[in-house]
Amino acid sequence: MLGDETVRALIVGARDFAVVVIGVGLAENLLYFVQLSVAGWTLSRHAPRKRPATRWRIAAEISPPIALLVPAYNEEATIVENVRSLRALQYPSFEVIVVNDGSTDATLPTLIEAFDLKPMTRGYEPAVEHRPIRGLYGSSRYANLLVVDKENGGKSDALNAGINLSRAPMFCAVDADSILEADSLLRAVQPFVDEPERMAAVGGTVRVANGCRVRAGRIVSVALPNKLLPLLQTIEYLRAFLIGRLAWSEMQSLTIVSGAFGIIRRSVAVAVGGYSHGTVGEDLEIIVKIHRYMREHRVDYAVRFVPEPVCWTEVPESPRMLGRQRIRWQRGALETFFKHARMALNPRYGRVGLLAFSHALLIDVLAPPIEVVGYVFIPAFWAFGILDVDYLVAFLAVTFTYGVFLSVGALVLAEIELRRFPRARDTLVLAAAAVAENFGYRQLNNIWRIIGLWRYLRRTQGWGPMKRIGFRQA
Amino acid sequence: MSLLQTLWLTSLLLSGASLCVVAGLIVHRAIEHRHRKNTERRRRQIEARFLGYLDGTFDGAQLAAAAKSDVILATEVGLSLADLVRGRDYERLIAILEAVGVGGRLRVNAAHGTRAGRVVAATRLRHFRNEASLDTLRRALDDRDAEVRLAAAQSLAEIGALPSVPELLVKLHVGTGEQSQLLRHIFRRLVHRQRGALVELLAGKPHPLAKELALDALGHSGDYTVLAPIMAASEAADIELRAAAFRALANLGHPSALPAVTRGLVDASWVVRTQAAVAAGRIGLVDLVPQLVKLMADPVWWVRFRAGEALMALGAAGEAAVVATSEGTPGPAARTAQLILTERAA
Repeated sequence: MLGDETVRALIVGARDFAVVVIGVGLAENLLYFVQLSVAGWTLSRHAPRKRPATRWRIAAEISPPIALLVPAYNEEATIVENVRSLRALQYPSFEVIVVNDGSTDATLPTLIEAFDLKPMTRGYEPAVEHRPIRGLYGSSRYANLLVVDKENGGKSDALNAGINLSRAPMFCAVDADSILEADSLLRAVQPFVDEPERMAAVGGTVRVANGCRVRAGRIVSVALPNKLLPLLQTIEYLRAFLIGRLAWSEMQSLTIVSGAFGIIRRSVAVAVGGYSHGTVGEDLEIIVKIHRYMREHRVDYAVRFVPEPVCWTEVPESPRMLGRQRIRWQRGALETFFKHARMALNPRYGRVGLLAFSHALLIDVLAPPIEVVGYVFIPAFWAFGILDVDYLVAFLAVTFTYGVFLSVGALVLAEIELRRFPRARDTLVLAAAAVAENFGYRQLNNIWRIIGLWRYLRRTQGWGPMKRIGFRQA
Repeated sequence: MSLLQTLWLTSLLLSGASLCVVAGLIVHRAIEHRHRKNTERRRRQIEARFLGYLDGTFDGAQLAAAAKSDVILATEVGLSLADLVRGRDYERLIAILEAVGVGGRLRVNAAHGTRAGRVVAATRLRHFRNEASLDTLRRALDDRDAEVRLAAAQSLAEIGALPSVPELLVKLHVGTGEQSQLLRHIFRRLVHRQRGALVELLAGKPHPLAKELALDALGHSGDYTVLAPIMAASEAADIELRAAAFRALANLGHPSALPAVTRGLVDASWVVRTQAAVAAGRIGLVDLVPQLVKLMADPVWWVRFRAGEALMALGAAGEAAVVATSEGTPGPAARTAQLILTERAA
């Protein structure tokens, strides 16, 4: 039997441990609550609205040319559809640059056949580094399409090749498995029209396309996924984009412009050396680099998120694929965090250093392992009578019930301000998903985050196989 | 109650409340969905009446009575049609919309609506070219919101009723905050009515952005009498102004810009050299072939590239110079020339 002293020490230790776990969980929830409030306030003031057609026509007259950069690695299932969709965008001046990053499948032959491509040449300034280009392809039938075939070097390397070959003042990085709304570029470029001198980068909303019907590279019918994992990701994307990014943008601390759909000023990207090699979170890293560069050079700038422009993306449907993606995201976040650690809590970097990096430290580094350890030990301590039931319920509050409130809160905001889903039934299903995601899915994500942390420490990288299922045709 | 218990109860209350709100929204959406079919039916009905009125098969008085019974729907349908029709049909449509109170409603919204409502109303008022609407739009230039001010200025620009250039600069906060590219659109629209005022801007000392807007608008005027002030602006101290002046000269495309462009090709700023090279090509200044050949050895890639492009735009003389450069001493100039030639050949 344990002595009284040992038991007392165990109880005190267990209580201290529980206080730390609950405290971290509470801090996490408070942060999300602040984001929810800021997003709600922002949307109530600047709710995205359908503007009169003439406003868009005028904007189109003065909108800058944009190069759409589409890095592709083994994307034969969706690449043709994606390129067709991109070429059909409503925008006065744009070029689609597909960068085949040494695919081992038929991505390049598929493109050559579908678009009747022929070898061509184009002069370019080697402004940022990338692996050698094997060939360029164009077609007289599709004047605004350029296909770059290069040696494999990863997504960031492919984007750098696209930056070098683009001749437009802006570029838009688009994932090869994504579909853009017809007017998404016109809407997303608006901050560049409003503040042409200051704007460095703009991100748009990414939505889950699983379950939607696609015809000729367009979403013709919006519907919810009929599988559980994509459904849970629908809520997750809604929360991340509508609340997280909008709030960070409003607080001038947005550190990520989605790799699936984001516009960056080319000269700014070149000034920071383009996308960094050897990173898996290139979309996060380049924005952090831009913040760092601009602040160190005392340049007045802005990075914005616009809630309305929509990019549809196919999300993983199997736990294995989703796990891989989340592990990669976590590693990317950690790489960026530690690479630019000097910005953390450094007033020189303003709100980005103080707010965004504190958030990253809490959410990406501290919270996942602490929460997972909490799942094991707090119920165990309570079961053995070491902790009061109050500690257990407080832990359940910060891990489950506040989570339900925040997920459902995001849905409420989306329903009031944006109405993104066509039927009442969709909202009902999403409300159920918003509750359900806190029981299992959240915990699974934490485990993937911990694996990501472990992999980051072991430093392994690459595109990673991602099986594309192709869009559901109407 | 302990702090831990409070945490638990608060979380239950918040999550319960959020679930109740979402349940309410779902019910509201379901009810709305049931009404949607009815709204769609009424929309089709009023659309058919508007079209009937335009092709003379439906009586105007009957349409007015129908529209008055649902002004909101009539506004949406009528103004959607206004974007599609022209000439006499357009005038008849706007007249009947004014008669049923759509214009009045927009004027009230432009002055007293929500921010989004004021923007939409100010944009739509461009259809209603009467004194009351002009007054509302002019007042909207003093709105506290920049987007409303810009929307009103765009409508006034389309009507051709913008205030004087100095007044517009003040009202749109040019140089004191407003940077929108929409300003270019607005200034281009006033160039034919207020060319003199824009030229005066170039001579005065307003904010550089105001001068840039004036240069851009004058460059789109197609009027060669503004060449001299633009050429003078190409010697400004500000790099952006010099570059804007060469863009304007390129748009005007008059060969008497030769002295300014010659000077621009050796400007200290690569941005200006690039724009001067573009201007040389667009204007067709064949005399500048030797200077453009020299520029193909510029330290900046974009200058070399634009100089090569300009040479190719100059016809046989320029093309021959690019070929000769490509075959000359190896270096950046030869490489650029080779790239330009292979790109053209592909």
